[in-house]
Amino acid sequence: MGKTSRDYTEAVSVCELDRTTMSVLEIGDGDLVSLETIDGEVVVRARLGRGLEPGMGFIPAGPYANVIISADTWESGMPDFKGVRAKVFKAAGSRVFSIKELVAKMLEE
Amino acid sequence: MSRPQVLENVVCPFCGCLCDDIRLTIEDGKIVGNERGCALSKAKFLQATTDRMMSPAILQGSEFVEVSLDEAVDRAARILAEAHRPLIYGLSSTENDAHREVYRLAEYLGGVVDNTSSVCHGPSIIGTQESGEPVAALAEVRNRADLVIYWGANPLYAHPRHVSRFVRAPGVFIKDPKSERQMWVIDVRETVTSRVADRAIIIRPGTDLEVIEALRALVRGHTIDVSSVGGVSLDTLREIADAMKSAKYGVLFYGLGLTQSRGRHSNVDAAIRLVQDLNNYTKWSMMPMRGHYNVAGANKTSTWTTGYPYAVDYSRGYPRYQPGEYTAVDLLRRREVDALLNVAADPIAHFPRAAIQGLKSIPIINLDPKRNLTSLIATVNIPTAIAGIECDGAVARMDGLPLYVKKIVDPPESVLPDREVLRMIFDRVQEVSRQ
Ligand code: SF4
Repeated sequence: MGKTSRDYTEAVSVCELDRTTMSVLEIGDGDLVSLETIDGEVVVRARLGRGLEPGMGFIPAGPYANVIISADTWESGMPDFKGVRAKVFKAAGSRVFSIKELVAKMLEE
Repeated sequence: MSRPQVLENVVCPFCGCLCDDIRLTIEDGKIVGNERGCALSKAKFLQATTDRMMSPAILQGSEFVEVSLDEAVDRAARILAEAHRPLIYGLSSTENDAHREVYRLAEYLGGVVDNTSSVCHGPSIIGTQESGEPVAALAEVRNRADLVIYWGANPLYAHPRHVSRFVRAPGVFIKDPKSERQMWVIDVRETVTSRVADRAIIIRPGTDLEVIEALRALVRGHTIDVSSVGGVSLDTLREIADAMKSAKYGVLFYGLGLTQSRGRHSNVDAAIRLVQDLNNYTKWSMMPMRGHYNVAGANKTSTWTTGYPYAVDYSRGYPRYQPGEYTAVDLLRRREVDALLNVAADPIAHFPRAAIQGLKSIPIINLDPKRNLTSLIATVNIPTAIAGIECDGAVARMDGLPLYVKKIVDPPESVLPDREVLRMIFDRVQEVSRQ
């Protein structure tokens, strides 16, 4: 599947969360959520993830995850792709940007 | 219509397993069948012609204008010749001869050349530079290993045939892999692989280093004064350490779970030392689960040619190496480069935002067979042939085994391999610089 395809966008614009987090925050499978870190904010779709510990989220590698991770590599070349602290909010009423919009926005700021 | 032709033992140029047993059916110059390949392999071969960049194009204003190959090469050469600190990045999804052209160009330009391992297994390489490389051949794993551990790796998802070809397949000394070989998974979450493993151990995110060090202590016979490490009880850790020590031949495959999380190369370094410790008792080896089919090759060609595996700077006329300084993400975050030549990679899809912003106001030359996210904003796009399908070449498997990938079908009209386009750019850069 090409990176400019809808399938790719749908595959990478999700955040898997565990059942407990989802019920506490009243988030349903497929609901929009806003993820906030010190580096940025992005809206994606929540999915019920299997085998995740409460408090842990998983976003597939891709442009949506890249919005909220730091480019500091601690002098290693490797950014923090994993283990990033983030806040999760319900984001009803907002929308998931298309990849084109997302890239344009990243370049603009 | 010509009769369908069947090609045996084709190498799959997708992931670091480089499965070399694919059977392809070709009809009228098109690949119509792929037997033995996994879903990723089928998509790679059968959809080779979809989503292609069809013509070289130059960005003018906000529109792409199709141009001839010569015009695109000329523009690319001028961008590179004028740049003070050009970065050449990518290489993991193309063959070794294309890499050769890249190093030649980087040296001539006094630029920086980095490959995608800086954002995947770069920390593994730093780890091996510290402590050595206890690597085994994949065939040896299949023939001998009685305990295989995947740590921070999810092969059923990313390397779909790794388990079936090397772990759950019988070998010379392992006749019945189900009963004679154990497959364990250590990860921060349940995965498709952990669900089919003989044993799955879940650790707390970011505690890999502690867990490895605890295992080292236990393997060496020390006592530990805590009840659990990284969320794993001491009893379980003791069981793991004992199983590791009493295996006849153990193999530790590790993925980005070790290299991209807290600790990075220290995690890998510690894992290597664990394997070294285990070799005091029995035979163990370890191997990174290399993702792109020739990312291992990129590290090799870079080392042969420049002396260093990635993050190589030629600005002083000779190669210098420093991850964190000459790695793509750092250079872009610091806004240090003034032109990017991207070869067979997609930085816009894979770099953090602050690094992508470093691409905002610099020209980008993008060589790739397919449209990708980088092609959306590149100044010059040049389509190339797909290595291993439309042109031949040499590539390296995750265990370092060199394999020859074949040309199966012709590329689209007037589309050339990466190596030829790069050679044209090099020649033109020389002409432009002389003027
Ligand atoms: S496991 Fe990797 S190399 Fe083997 S067929 Fe699948 S994608 Fe290709």
